Amino acid sequence: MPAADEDDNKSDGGIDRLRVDGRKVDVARLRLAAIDRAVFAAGAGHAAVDHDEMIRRTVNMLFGHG
Amino acid sequence: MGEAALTQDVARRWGLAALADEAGFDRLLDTVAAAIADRFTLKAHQNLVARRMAYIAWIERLSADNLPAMDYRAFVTICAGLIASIARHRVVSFSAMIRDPHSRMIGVVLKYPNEVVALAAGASLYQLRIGELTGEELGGGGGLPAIVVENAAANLARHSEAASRFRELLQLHTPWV
Repeated sequence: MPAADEDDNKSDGGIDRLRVDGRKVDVARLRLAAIDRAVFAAGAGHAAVDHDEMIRRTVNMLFGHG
Repeated sequence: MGEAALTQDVARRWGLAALADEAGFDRLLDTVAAAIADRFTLKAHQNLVARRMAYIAWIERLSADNLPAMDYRAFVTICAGLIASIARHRVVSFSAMIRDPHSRMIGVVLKYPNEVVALAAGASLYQLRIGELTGEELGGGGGLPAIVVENAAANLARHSEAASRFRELLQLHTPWV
């Protein structure tokens, strides 16, 4: 698999100046968990799913196998 | 705990909330970009500053979105929010290692790399949960016509609001009527 190149813009230090608001992260996490519980009954049946494999299948579904 | 048991435990506990953490957000983007790169024999490049900005935009949107009810519409809204947050910043680009001149799809991916990754990330999140809900396997993988993907990506490039129509643009199945 071709590796992702993450060197771009690493040297400018810009990423260190970008702060993430921890309180907003907490709110976001709670909201996502609430949606998960309400719509999908989180915890039921998730063990059977390989998430990376599902992502690859979705990519194939969109773009074909080639 | 053995490695297999640990892996299974992590998978069981995975939920949407994992995407509130930067590591979860980054992992989703990495996996989608790598899957697209793999599919078309491309090299994926990520701009880390743009990725952080996309993550911040995603968190801002999540904490600000006015969700009237915690139902499937909220789930569709957050998938659209993920797409819009990624598409807003130039997070991913691809360079071609081998290019089939007859493939229109690879041209679309190279022209709209960020939009394609954003749409695929939102669609993956959507399909992941729908698959768990319905137990349906994803289809044969014939793929969408290139013109459909190009239309979706071009729409998203022009107007970030197009993210809210990702299901129609990508012809995704919905279990809800």
